[in-house]
Amino acid sequence: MPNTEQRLEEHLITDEPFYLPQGDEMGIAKAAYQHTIPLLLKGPTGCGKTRFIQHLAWHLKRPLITVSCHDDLSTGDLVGRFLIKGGEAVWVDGPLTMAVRRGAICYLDEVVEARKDTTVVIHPLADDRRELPIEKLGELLTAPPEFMLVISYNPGYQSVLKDLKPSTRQRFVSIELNYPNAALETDIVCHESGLDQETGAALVRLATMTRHLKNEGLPEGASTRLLIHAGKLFGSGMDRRRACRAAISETLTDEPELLAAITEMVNSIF
Amino acid sequence: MILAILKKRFLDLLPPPLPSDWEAEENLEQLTELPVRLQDLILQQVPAIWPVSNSLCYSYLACADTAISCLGEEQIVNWVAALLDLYEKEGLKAAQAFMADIENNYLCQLQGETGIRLDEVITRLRPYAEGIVRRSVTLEEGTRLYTDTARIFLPGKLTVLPSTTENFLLYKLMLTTQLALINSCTYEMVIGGDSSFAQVLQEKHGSGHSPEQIKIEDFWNIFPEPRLAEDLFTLAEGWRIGEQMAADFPGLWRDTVGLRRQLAEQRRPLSSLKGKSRVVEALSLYLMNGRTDQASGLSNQHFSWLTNQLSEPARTAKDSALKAAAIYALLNNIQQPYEPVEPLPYLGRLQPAAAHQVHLQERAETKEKFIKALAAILADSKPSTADMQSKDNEFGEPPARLNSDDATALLIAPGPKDQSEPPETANNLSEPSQLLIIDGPAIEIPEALKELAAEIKADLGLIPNEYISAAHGLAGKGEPPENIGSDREGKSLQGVITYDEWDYRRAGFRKDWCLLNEKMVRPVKGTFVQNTMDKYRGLLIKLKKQFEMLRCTERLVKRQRDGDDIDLDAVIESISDIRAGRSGSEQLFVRLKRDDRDIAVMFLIDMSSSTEGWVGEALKEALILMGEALEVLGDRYAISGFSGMRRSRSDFYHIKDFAENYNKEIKGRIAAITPQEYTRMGPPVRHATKILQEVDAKVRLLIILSDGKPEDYDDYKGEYAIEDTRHALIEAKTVGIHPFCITIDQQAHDYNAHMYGEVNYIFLDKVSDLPLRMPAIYRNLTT
Ligand SMILES: Nc1ncnc2c1ncn2[C@@H]1O[C@H](COP(=O)(O)OP(=O)(O)OP(=O)(O)O)[C@@H](O)[C@H]1O
Ligand SMILES: [Mg+2]
Repeated sequence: MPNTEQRLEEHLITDEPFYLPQGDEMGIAKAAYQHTIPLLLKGPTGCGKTRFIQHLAWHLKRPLITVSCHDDLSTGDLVGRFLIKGGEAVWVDGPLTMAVRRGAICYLDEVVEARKDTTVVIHPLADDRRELPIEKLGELLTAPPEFMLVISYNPGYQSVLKDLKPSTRQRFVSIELNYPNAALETDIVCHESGLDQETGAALVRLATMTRHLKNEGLPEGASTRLLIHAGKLFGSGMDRRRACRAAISETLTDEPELLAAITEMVNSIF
Repeated sequence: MILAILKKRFLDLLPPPLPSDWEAEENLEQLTELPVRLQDLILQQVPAIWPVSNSLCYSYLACADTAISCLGEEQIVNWVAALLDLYEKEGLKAAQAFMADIENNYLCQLQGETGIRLDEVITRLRPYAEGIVRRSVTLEEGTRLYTDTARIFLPGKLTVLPSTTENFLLYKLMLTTQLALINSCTYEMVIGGDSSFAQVLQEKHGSGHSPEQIKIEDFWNIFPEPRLAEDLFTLAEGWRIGEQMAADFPGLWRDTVGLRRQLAEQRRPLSSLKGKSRVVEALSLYLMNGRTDQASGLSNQHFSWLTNQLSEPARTAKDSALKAAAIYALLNNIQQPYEPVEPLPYLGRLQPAAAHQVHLQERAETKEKFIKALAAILADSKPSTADMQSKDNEFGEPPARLNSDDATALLIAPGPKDQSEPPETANNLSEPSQLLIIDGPAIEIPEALKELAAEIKADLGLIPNEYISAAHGLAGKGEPPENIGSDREGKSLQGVITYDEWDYRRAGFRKDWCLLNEKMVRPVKGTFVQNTMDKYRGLLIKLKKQFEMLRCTERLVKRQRDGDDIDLDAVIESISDIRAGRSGSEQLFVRLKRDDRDIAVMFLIDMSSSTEGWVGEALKEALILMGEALEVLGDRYAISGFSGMRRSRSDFYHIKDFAENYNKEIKGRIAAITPQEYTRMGPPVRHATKILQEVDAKVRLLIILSDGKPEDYDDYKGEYAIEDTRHALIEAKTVGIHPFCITIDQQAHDYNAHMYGEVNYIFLDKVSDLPLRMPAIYRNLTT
């Protein structure tokens, strides 16, 4: 299927994505890949999960196919469906099927957002059978060793309606990513936004402060991503306090008191 | 009031022996001009002060007027309490100085409309502080600015500066400075008594005693004029902290340049001071406005030598001590004794004694935790758990072949075990060893214990043997709580339900151990409900809107057999399937569906007496708000309370059943909630689980509100209670119920995460937040 071939090409990452490891996550991921065990990434939003997978895909020289999960995601969206082209019904692989056929890495981002009946299609694929049944084609695909399934989720959300079923969880090797330590995070922010070290470090200090506000009603503080955004606004010459407000404070909360406290933090630092 | 009446009223307040008439008159004279209301207020405090010290009482009478105008009338009681405290700790002189200092301590020179009060800004400052320090500190209104590292005391209001914005900035500067003081470890300074620096000081100024380790106060006391040493040290620390702040909070530092300059201008003119005091004041001004050309009374050359000294780079408080000593040596040549000058208004005077108290308390807490944690390991590692079953097992005997010294040796890597070892050299020991070896197999030390051990070593340099032996003692007592077994009354009660209780020591249940009664709450009439509705009118409107939106999670469900519209995706797919020779799907419609929330929730309220005070208002208000909001949302809910005493009587109060409608009667019952007895968490949680299990809903939620301290009259406390509670919650989870705990207390307990499970609880330290937060928490939980 030249079509698939071509589409897959686009998913191959040729330039090394910038990634600074937090710990031994690369080692674990490589070992899991070798043993064809799927991977579960946990961690707060914007801590580098997506970037990590991009780096892994580049390292393993596998195409990376990402699916952002949402509650309308149907099995067909993952596996594939018939479409009509020029009066003919043509089967088109869904991203999961494509990844299985071609031995790519399939990354299901925020998997808890998908409905439970959708998540079960990955069950036979995620255990040692490594099979994907395609009912409409009457086909049963077996994944080649190069195929890897990766899912991610953020355990910080407290909703009881959104949790991974144990039967899903227990098929994976888990890697917990967190916000990188201050020095590392500074390097990341500087690299991504082009800021100097001192300003980068100041942004990281601000982030650390907002991350202490769990008991004050802010379950997740500023992520690395937000710092990079703020840094980019700095770079384009915006007033720093204004930039932090736009990129960080207002993004984090609507609560007037918290907003005031975060604004004070910003004003202390910048 | 004329003097004679004033005198009579004064003398009536005193126990015999009474002072002479003329003595009384002399001291009361200054009050005669005051309004009667203030006279009353001032006299009211006399009975508290007079018996402690007559002289102190007279000084008080002299200063009280100023104090009131500075502090406001509400603060006078606190001020007197602080005064008496100080008198008892540091004597008359210190207390008098404190009183004389009032204007400096409270920054109350300017009284105007531009002031700002702490309670207006505390909601902004509290999260701000929490962000900056890792440890938990509380902000309190106090009679002078200082921190003991656990609390920060700030003035109740600020009026020194001409605008509200600047007064707020001053609050922020004060707070940030105190936070920086905590972060800079000022109070942790120790100088080894044998260090050359200490010896030189001793020889030069030596006031005799030389402790092995010199702490802040000892350092001051080496000098003939301790207060001068103190003020110089504080200035040096002020400089160090200022540098730190300029680096960490450049924004704040920049914003407050003008403010610091203004504060400097408001101080007593240099020309009114002499000798050492003048120099110290000049240095203080230098710190505040950065100018080296102060009229210090010294030659320019000398003064700039001093400012250079002061601005030498400093890493630790010890560096500041060196600076202080150097400056002291120079000032020593000036003859007149030193008269204390005002402290830096945003730094205040250091309070090492208060900080030391906090430190000791924390040390004691760490010790207790360590002993418990180690005891748990020791108990677990016994060859068999059979002895747990027999109650009359021998107590306190350490397990064979392990004496406490061995254990110490195992816990700390080999190295000198010398008590006097200063912490600096103990750094090589700070890597806690990973394994504890008892009787053969090695046991891995849990992370928590490792952390405790590291903390203790950082503090004391080693783990004292006493800690280890205490743990052995504790581990030996593996028998069940005594009182529980002896209490058998009440079993014959009708309609009583029995529940098992988890005993972690034998990892099993005590069968039918607790007896639970269901009780009704009799509604009360009153204005509480209406008041709440009025108080939160705005919030209620907002809440109702928010919850309404939750209810209306309308969504298009695709691939239905019939529905409101054609599902184009499905049709195309179906046609494609048919073309491809497969049978097409018949589910070709979309339907607008109101998502059926199908959630049942029970609110379980801790009504034990330890919740006295907070059960009172905020909790009930929160329940009323929840009731209103849930009525809009349509989720099914029940409210119950619990309390009780001993295992024979766990009371479970019905406030609202799932079947009941939210009405006047229910509101009356909510208003009737009052604190009762003890908190045995297990039985009510199990009972609530049972009730919830019988409710048919897709999601069943158990929200528990408590102060997080399970404790009964008998031995249901500590680890036993925590483990039983934890187990009851796990049981609920096992049957598909989602427990969620809202814990309200001044301080989070370390065991909360263990007891509730990391993501299943939230901690609130401000009760008044509850009415606001509870609906938000509920929303988060169920979307
Ligand atoms: N370790 C890292 N090395 C390099 N860049 C990083 C690292 N961690 C985070 N980043 C930066 O942070 C940004 C956000 O990370 P990423 O998008 O991977 O977060 P995420 O964990 O996938 O978040 P979400 O859960 O919200 O999708 C990245 O674009 C990248 O610039
Ligand atoms: Mg991502």
